[in-house]
Amino acid sequence: MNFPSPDPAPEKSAYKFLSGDDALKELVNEMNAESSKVSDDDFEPPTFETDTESNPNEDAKKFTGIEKPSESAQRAAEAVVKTFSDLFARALSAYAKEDYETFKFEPKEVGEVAGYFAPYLKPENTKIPDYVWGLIVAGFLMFDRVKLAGAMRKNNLEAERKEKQIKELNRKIEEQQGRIKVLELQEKEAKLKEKVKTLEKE
Amino acid sequence: MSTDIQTKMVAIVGTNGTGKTTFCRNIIESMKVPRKLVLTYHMSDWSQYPINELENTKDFTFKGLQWHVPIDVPKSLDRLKLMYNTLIVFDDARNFFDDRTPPDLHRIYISRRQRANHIIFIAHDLDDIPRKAYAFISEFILFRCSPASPDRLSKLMDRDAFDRAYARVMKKSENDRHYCESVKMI
Repeated sequence: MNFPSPDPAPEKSAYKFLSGDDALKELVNEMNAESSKVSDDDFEPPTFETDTESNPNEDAKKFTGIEKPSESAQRAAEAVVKTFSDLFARALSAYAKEDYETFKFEPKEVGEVAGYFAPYLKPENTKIPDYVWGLIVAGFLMFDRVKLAGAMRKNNLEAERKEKQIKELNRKIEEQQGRIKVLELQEKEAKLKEKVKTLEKE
Repeated sequence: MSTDIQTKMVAIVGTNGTGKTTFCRNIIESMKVPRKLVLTYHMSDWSQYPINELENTKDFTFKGLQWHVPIDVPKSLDRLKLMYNTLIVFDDARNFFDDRTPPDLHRIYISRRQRANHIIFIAHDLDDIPRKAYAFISEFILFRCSPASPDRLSKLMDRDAFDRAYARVMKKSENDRHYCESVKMI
């Protein structure tokens, strides 16, 4: 049977102690010696989605889920843009003279607002590109503006009509009042004439 | 080639003005690793070097010294796991680690040899070093600082020897504020 020694040798420390300068020198030497055993070629650098430079076509593909719009789709989109542009221009010129606050906005603003809301309004799993949704939203916004402006113009016309009516009524009242005054004067004149006749007889 | 090398995990501990950051800068300047990355909130200390966002591949393949601000600590640690052949410095560790060691930080300790990363913690006090790091630290550079709490010291291989070194540093630093001593695993 083995028994432990009654007087075991003192255990050595697990540590080595060095003063600052020696520690720095030794530490750097050891670290460099270990690092020299490897090179960057021994490792595979990580890759990230953010590595790719921004590519409009790739972005569009990622965004819309389609490779590239067909020629007919492009033509249709161009036609839609032209229609909306024409409509917008017509609406602006039609209402510009009225100087409504409603029309103090730029087409660019409509585009920005539409661009902002389009992705949220787009149904899921659709392959319709975002720019088409953008145009649709822009269309709604513009129609909304036109509708609002139309309502304002209608109200304005109504107000003008009422104002004219009031003016006409005033004129009629004045005319009537004038007539009444004339009649009153005529009546007074008649009475005076009657009085004169009576006095002459007497 | 084996990438399982004996990398270092060093804790440089000292109160303000003792010279711990200068000591670390000396290590950084003398090190020949391709990359040195400092995680810090003390931007003015490192602003002469390029900032690193840990976002793209180039942030992991740069050469020289760069610094990163761990605004989102879990995300930074998640990205830091991918770093290789680099000296990683946690400047003023108390700023981004609380007492619970994040799992990703633990993985960074464990995988440091396979990924050939050296790690340096700079801290004001021994308790500012994350608790679990004590089991991995290969070398303490002790400047004048507050003593460690018992639960941290219990993780050391030779607590008595460490206590003796700490006592020496505290005594000698009374006359020389910049006195430091290395307590190094054999």
